[in-house]
Amino acid sequence: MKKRIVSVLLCATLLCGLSTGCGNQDPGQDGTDSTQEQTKESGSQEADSGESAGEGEDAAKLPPEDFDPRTAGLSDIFPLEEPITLTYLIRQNDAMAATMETYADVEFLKRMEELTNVHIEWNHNTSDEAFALMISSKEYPDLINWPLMNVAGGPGALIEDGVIMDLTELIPQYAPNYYAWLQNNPEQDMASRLDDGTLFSMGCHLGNWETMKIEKTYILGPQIRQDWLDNLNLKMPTTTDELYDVLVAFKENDCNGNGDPDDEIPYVIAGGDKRLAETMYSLAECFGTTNDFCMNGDEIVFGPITDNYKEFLTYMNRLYTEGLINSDFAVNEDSFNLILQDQGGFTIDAMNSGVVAAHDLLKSQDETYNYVSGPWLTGPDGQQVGRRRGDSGGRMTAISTTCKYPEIALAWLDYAYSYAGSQNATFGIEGESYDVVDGYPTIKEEVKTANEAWNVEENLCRWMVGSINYPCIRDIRFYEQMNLVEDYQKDIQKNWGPQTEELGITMAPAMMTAEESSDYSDIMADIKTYVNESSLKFITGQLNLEGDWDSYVANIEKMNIGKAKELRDAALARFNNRK
Amino acid sequence: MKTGNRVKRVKEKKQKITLSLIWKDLKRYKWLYLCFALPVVLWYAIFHYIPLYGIQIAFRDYKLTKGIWGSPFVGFENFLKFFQSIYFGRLIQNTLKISLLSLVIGFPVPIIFALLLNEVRNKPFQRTIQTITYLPHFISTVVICGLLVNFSAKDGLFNIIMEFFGHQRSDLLMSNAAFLPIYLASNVWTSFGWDSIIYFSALAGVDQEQYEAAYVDGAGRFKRMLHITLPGIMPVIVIQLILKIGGLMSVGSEKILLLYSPITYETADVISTFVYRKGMLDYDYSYSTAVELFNSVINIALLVMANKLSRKVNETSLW
Repeated sequence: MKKRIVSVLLCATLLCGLSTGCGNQDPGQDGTDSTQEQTKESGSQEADSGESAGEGEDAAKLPPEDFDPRTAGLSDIFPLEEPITLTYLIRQNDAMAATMETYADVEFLKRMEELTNVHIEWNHNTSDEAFALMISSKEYPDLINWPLMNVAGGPGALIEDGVIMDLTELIPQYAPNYYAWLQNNPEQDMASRLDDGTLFSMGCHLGNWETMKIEKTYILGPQIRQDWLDNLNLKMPTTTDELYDVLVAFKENDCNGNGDPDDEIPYVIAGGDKRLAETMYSLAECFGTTNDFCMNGDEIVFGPITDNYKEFLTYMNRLYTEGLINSDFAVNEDSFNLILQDQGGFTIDAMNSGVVAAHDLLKSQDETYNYVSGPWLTGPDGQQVGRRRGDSGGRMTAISTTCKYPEIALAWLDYAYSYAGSQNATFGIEGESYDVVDGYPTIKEEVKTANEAWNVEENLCRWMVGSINYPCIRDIRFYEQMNLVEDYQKDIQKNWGPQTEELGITMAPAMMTAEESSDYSDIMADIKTYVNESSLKFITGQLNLEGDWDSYVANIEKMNIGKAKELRDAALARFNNRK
Repeated sequence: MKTGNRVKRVKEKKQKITLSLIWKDLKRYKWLYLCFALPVVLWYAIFHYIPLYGIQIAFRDYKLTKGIWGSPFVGFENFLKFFQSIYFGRLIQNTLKISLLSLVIGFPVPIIFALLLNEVRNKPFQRTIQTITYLPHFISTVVICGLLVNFSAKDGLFNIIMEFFGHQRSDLLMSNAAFLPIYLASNVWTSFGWDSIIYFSALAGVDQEQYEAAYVDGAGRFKRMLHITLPGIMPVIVIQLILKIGGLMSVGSEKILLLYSPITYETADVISTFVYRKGMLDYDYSYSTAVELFNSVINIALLVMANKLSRKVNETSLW
């Protein structure tokens, strides 16, 4: 009897162990039920909007001539008489994930719900697998926030396959604020549309409300130890030749004052081979090229077979053989520590995690340490870093075909593109998280400083949504208060912006069709491997730049780079022929 | 009168396994089958056999939005894409080279280690050594690779040792020549302790009487090891070998991914790492499935061949 009880208990324990793995995930299943009763409600809504803009049924109804996002507020359809629920798939950024379970706790969004009577069921399960699962299950959330350009086949394929809606007609009508911003920024407008002019999403943009222009922040650039320059009586390098001289000076002198003149690493390439695109190949832009397709005036060229690229490799090879860069740059992912340990002099890296973090850390070690940003460098033949051609990446919000209230969803999202909404989205709630002082929205002290419960970012995230790719216009005055306080911070944007107003070498956001992009990726898989491998071999001297260059170029041409260029040309031609 | 030597021959009725026999067995031990056998069978059926229908995306141009059945059928196009890649030859060569070398170098070490440690008289010492050697198996690959990257740096441990022996310092992980030794040596270090456990248990099963008989016949320690221990654990060795051959083509890609860089693609780039990079350009599920299918087919062929071979050479085989 006793044996029996023991064995039964053991079996039961085993079974319990099995079932602990089953959690419960219930993202917005109940939301869809309540929307059933609202069909009558939405029917009357559509009738209303249909009557008010009665004429011109054929063309997309545009907002009235005198519409101004600066004075517009929430759309008149809000607050809704009967509450509706929309499901929204959006990524939670780390700071928010640390302090709250879903975006429902953000003050701005809570206020939105009060004002509009629209309840949002947030779904933050945004791994690639979850996305693939969602697509294949054909049950889409109403709103999807995703880097749509990265999906195979692009947004065009998603529209064709009936996943997201074509918003070209709906946006001017129901999202007039966003439409006004697009009208005011023709480059962004081009980048946000497909080749046939289709609009499909709303993205997050940094905006200046005085000029109604979309601004860009520059988040990558050269960084240097200003105090070492001062100690050696050197100027900030502005050309690649000057940079070389500075690096040599860093190497030969005992810059960190520890008595050992050999332990300085002048140019630290941080992050290992996975980040070379940012930390090393970005320098190639100063030579007028890059390690992928780029523009030479109006023509597309493949960077790695151009003479500019050869010059860039020669330069890097010189730096490598003379010991001016960390020799394990291709394998060591932690090399940024060399900067933090007072051994590195120069690097090209990101803003917040790079120059700002290191500046503060080094200052805390010693007051004289001064780590600041430097300008982009002019190349040996006068090449300068030019403007980027439009920006179409990032996470954008699309409306799925299963959404029953696309017009309401658009109007709801559109609020964040009006002045009132943009202020709320960027700064939070007036009077509670920010005050308008002399017409300038000033974030309250207790919101932008860390306390025992939250750090700065977490504190901010409780009130506003701007710091993730939430579709809105982020007011640039946020950065002015938060990130551009000290002098060196103000210089960052100035230094890292383009050197000239002319268009640079970066590609236009032209999109390839699904078929083109699959052919393209087949060809480029091999070529990218070969280019990466050979570039590093040229730099480390395993391949000779004089002797082996021609066979390297010949190999790339044999790998059918011509066909890849044709595909790119076709996409660009379509892009240029738009509208 | 013949006694003793005559072995009684019992005529065994060879029973044919009929359905009714199985049914009777099931009924008699139904709880056993229900609690232990059924869940396992179900698990294999649901998670391993039923999903096999998804292999067909290797023959289709799988689009996420069209689903498996909606994607167009393209036959062997994905396979051809793979075979026509410029790097196909190099990938196969590297995959085979790394796995064969792993086998040749990594397979005997646990055996020799088990044999040697078995000879140690001091039992507590033996057990301590065993525990110490199988601890590395539990260290995560990422941690080990982090250590290796640090040790291979210009001022790292390996270089210090090399300098002591008169070699020049260099970035080891950036050289094609040094990649393979580092990879293989770290593999052996990680796994030999754990792998030797099964040989230890096999050693315990060797008949002690044979040892004594050999001792009486004048065989020394080494001869005893060679002629009694080794043949005694030979079945286990052969089975392990067959299993390892079956995994030849799918050489561990996480470790390579963490240790390689474009400079060492020449020796380190294997099929799985290449497919991983291709998958980053666009989510090409069909392509990666096709390559994995190709891998598995080769693995199965090797497994069957190895099994047949071992059955011919000695009587042990997996089936």
